[in-house]
Amino acid sequence: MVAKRTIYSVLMGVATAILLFALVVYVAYALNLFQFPYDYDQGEGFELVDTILFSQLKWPYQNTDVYPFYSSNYPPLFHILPAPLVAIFGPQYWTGRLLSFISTIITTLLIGYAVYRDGKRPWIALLSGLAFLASNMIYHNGPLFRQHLTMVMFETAAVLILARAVPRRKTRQIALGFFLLILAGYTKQLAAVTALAVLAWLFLRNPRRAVLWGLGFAVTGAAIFVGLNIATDGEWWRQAILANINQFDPLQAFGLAKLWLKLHFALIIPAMLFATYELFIGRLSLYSVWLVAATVLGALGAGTWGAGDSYYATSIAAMCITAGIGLSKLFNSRAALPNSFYSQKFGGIIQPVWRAAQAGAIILVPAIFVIYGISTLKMPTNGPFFGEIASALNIEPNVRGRHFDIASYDVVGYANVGHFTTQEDIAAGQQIVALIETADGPVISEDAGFVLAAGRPVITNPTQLRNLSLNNSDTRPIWDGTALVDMVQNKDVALIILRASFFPTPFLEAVLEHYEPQEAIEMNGFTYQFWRPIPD
Amino acid sequence: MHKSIRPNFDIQMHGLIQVESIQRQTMKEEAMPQEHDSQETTDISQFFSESYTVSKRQLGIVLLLVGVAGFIGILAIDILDVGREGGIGPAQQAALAILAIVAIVGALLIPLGDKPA
Repeated sequence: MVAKRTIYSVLMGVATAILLFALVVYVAYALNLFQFPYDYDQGEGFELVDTILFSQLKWPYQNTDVYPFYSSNYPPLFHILPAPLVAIFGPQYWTGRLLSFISTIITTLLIGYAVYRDGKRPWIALLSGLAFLASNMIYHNGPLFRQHLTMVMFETAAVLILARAVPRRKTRQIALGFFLLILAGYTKQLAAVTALAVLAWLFLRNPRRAVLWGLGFAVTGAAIFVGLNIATDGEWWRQAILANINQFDPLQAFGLAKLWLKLHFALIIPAMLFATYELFIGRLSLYSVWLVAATVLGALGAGTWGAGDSYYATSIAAMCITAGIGLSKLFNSRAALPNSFYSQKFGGIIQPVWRAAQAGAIILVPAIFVIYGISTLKMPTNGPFFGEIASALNIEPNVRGRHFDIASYDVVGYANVGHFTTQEDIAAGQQIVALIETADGPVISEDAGFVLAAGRPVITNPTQLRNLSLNNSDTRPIWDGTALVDMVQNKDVALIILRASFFPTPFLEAVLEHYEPQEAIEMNGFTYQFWRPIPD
Repeated sequence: MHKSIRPNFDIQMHGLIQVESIQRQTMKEEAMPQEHDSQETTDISQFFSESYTVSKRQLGIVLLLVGVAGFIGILAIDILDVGREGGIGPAQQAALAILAIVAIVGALLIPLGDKPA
């Protein structure tokens, strides 16, 4: 018994060390990003612009057919939360990055608490929480000025409360759970997946309550929706809903699904087994329903244009909770399989497997966390601390010559971020800002941060215009790019900065015809091209 | 003497039965930690009552129907929409696979009867 306990402690210690190291890398990455004053991930700058608008008490849902052709396509909450910080400290990227980072830390604590509450195994609860942050898909999106992880925090809090409040019929707590779901939905639309899972589970438990709570939830959500639409003169509907219907790319969806499985298989398997156990032998918990819904719908959503691996974040949170609870149950040596059709019919097979899993839990559980920690490894390979560790472990960089990510940057839809920024990147950003400052006229930049730093007005939100143009049709005209394209054709824009050419096709055609590339600056691994008007 | 032993034996047996019953109950609770709502029923005539809960069989029937109908529906897209080119694409294949799994899971749930889903 003592030997078994020692083996367990040693293995759990190894798992803890690996996952704590992942936490150190995550915190170091976040601190590095807080100090980086420009766009790191595509689109961060426009999130900052939305926040600036809210800090000035203006809506970011605007008419994109007229100058400055700008609008947001995201719900407001994530931009409202850091607005006071932006009002005080100015347009700083760290404001939103800090908010997102704190959200991931809170989600980690919530996951740990959920596992402890149902599993009563503090060490497994700790590792389950750390496993969330260790995921490559959480790590590299966590400290970005993007709303996804804040949505996941609200979702997790809602699920945690509802999972306990619904069986106990605690009306106030159920109301709080649904309120958090509304907050999640107005942080990012994808929270609809969690709302569906919650309502489906509630329906299974009691259809009457599901209908009543569902009605209250829908009426409240719809009232906010209508209010937003009225306040923005219909732009909320056009910019946040109609423009967000994107094409599905099966290659992106399958590539990301394969990568998600490769990175997280060690916890996906116990999580899915526990959900299967609950479905066929026990009783479905909200966590299991959430896991399945978030995985299937998240995987489908991840395959749409503009989406990516962050769409798995909810599924990863659900996986950590479900796997953590399932693994904790293995240590309950007195637990027996409840009587059911299948445990009676196939008891000869199920019972020995169940007992073997219980007997082997002492090795199996820590081994799962060790394998998970190794299969999600990512770290910088240079610098005084990480460089030495990378060298000792013989880890070679596979990204930008200074970072190792086991996921690599080769899968379509996997955000090519996670590496640390350098002083050279900041110097390159300053060069770009200097070029904007010397421009004799309006500047259009694919990343907004440089324009903001130069004190120039931000013109257009390229991906939003692209979304609008792709969804534009004669039967549903939602974008008229005439005024913008005219500006380009008349060479009214002094400088156009392109990075990935995420603009509407008519705009790019006009640029190709009337502008020429004159310089290129590389920053953070991306090449920024500077297009100026072709002289007449 | 006989009379005094008999009641003791009964008490002991009763005690054992009680202990066994408590142990069984504890094991059951540990194995199935989810809380049950009080006075639940899966009688479909009480669908909108406070005490109704969906059974595994009912969930199974719904999943089976959704899976089969969805599977046929997706196949029908290719049969009905004859002008469409390319046959069954990867997205449709994935959807067919998911719906097939849904149908199989549904069918497997049906024998589980009135246990709460």
